[in-house]
Amino acid sequence: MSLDDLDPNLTAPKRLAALGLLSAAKKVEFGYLRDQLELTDSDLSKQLKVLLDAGYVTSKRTGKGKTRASWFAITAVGRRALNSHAAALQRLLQPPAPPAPSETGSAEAVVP
Amino acid sequence: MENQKDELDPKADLALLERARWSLELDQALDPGPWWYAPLAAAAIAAATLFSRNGSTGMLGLVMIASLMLAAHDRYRRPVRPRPSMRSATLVVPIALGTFVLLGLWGTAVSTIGYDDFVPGWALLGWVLTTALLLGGRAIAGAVRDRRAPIQ
Repeated sequence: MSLDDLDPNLTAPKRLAALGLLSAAKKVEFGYLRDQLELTDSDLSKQLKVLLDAGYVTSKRTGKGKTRASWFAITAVGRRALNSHAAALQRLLQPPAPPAPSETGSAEAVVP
Repeated sequence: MENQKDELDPKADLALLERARWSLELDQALDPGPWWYAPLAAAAIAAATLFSRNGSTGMLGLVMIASLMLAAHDRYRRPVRPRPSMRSATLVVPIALGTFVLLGLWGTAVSTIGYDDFVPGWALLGWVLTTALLLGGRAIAGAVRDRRAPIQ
């Protein structure tokens, strides 16, 4: 287990939280994401662009004028990445397994 | 990677992920919109028909149809399209059952003191009070969420 198992796109808490929110819904509107994550428009746009470029989320614009809205949804790739990132974080929390005693090591321990 | 190692807190990251998921699901389960109020109204009428000798099942059917129509209309105004999951069911089902039982208890209480002839009115009052309780729960959940540190 190493830090290399972590997804570099998800090590930023803002992106992790955004993808976590998206994983619990079919799709979420930009304003709702911004309010829930307590981010500014520009900050959220920046974080979502990274996720879009990685293929973790898709976006779709609907409506015109006042009813215009941007919707975001997690992709299958994004869901897999999130699950494996969460699994890697779990493994990091587990205490390291004690080293298995080698044959030479045990022999040395027994011989006075 | 060394820098990342210094800053990385797996426990905090996992807690953040869980918080993000739960916050959306809880928000959706307690969202005060027709999605939630309309079934409440249906439950109120259902409670009334359960505890009233003259309860009208026709009225219950009408309210339930109206609830479904309102819910369908509301679906297109909401900023989230919820994803049905076991986790969200574990939130919504107990809330709905609890509400129904609470409304039924209102009906029973009223029936016990002998006001059977005014069940719909009491059920409406029970509905208002139940909704107030739910709104209170939502306000507390919101306050708890706001007290948490913002995401860095």
